[in-house]
Amino acid sequence: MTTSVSASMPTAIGLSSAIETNQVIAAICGGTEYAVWRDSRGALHANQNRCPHRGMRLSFGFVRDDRLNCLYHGWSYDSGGQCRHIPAHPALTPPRTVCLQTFPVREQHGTIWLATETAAGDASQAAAPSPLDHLVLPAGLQATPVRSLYVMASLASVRRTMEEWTPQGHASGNTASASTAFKREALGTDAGTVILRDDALPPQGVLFALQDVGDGRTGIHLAALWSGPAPADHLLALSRQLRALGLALQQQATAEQAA
Amino acid sequence: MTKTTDPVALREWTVIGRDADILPGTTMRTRLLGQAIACTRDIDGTLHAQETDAYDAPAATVSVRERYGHVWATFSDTPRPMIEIPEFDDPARRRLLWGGVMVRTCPQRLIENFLDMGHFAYVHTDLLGSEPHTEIETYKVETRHDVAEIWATECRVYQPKASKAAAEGRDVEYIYRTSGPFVVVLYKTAEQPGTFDNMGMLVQPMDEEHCRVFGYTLLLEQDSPLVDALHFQQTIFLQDRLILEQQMPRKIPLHDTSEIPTRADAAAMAYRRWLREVGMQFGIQPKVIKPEAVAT
Repeated sequence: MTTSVSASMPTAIGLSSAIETNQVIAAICGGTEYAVWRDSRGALHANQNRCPHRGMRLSFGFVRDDRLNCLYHGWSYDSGGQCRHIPAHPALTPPRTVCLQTFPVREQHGTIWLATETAAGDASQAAAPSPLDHLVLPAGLQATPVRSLYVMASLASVRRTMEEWTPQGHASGNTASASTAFKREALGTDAGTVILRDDALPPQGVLFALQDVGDGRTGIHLAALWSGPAPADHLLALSRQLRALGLALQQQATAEQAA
Repeated sequence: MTKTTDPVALREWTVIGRDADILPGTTMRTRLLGQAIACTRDIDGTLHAQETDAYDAPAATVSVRERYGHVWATFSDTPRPMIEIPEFDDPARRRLLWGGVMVRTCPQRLIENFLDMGHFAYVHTDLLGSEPHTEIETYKVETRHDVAEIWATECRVYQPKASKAAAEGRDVEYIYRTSGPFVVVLYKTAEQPGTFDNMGMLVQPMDEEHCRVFGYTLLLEQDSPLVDALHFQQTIFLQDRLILEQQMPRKIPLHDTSEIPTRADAAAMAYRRWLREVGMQFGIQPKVIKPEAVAT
């Protein structure tokens, strides 16, 4: 069973820290796999995760000279998805038909966003829209990736839990009492939620986004919002809270299945 | 899955283990072409096998025989003759049986991987190939329909370390030979010029997407310990398994354009053509029938 992903809304597929320069990862949205990679200048690209030669997953491949290369036979694809080199026949110009589907991808506030449905044409050249485009953060606030967590629980149940979640900072920075007020801003269904503490000075909060992986799996991508780079103990505190949340979601999903 | 109905698969003799895997007085349970089977060796050494179900009710017998150091089984009363490999009887060769390795893919992707020289530089880096020696020169391919064999000859490739005994890189010549859908052997330039080692891969298709693979090597070269040669083959094969389990779909597509070959894939193209011609279904991605074609 796969769940279809909203046609127009891009999906968060990870945190900026998940893909290093000259690396490729696999991302799954609504049951479909994508190869997402970063070139030598740090720019992100997204393709179908399947080499059209022998069906090999390109996420097992390697990035070299700003091209994604298949691990099986070294077929080399440029950022537009076009195959540029077939090592078995170095003198051959690969036919235009040997190409990958490409998808708009971009990163903002520590999260990576993938548009899984694209119009025809060279999608990689088009700037991917992002639900964070219109997000206005208080001046000086910076996003730092905390962690991504994948749970065997449906998107709906994760969404329900996350709607009630209030993050706690680390002890030294957390001067507010338990009754601290939070301001929540959902940027669209599962497109990201910003939670800011009302009373904190300097301002602080979190940004999280949900990813519908398909097959009843959901990803939670969490970034800390802090004035400047967030301190390590704050990141650790948030990371622990997310892990506890993940365990609770997992137990809840298991109980629901048993019922 | 239950036992396949594909006559092309059912007529084959198929490996289910090494001789030594079934000791006298023991029974080995395994699966073949979707069917659970049990193979027993009596105290006197005789082998017999039968289909089994969850309740071990009496069921159809399965023909078994021993050859080439392995136990072979078939569901057919009139099976296709087994491949002839005379090198197994050559006293000058040392026999190395790799043992069974489980791989999550269809049997055809395993055969195709074995037939393929184009991956050496990337998957078996600095062993069977290396950049920039990636070019695959044109080689000859011949399909022998009468014996269901495909021969690829005059295959040449530069190898940094062609075998455990190889001290330096050299140009190697390969001859590939498939027999039916589940067996492939290869003749490869040995350390002594003008002679060929023989090795092969015997595939046990458990079901359409799970196989056990039994490799063997018949080595002419006498000096290196067999265990070193075995470790070399295991290194090579585990590199292949990483690839094989990441190909999508697991079943091989024969009836669409979702996989684009090049000249270097001539042997695999002949193998796929043969699979199409004999109408093989087991392990094959089913033909997609367009809805409009069904409507009328």
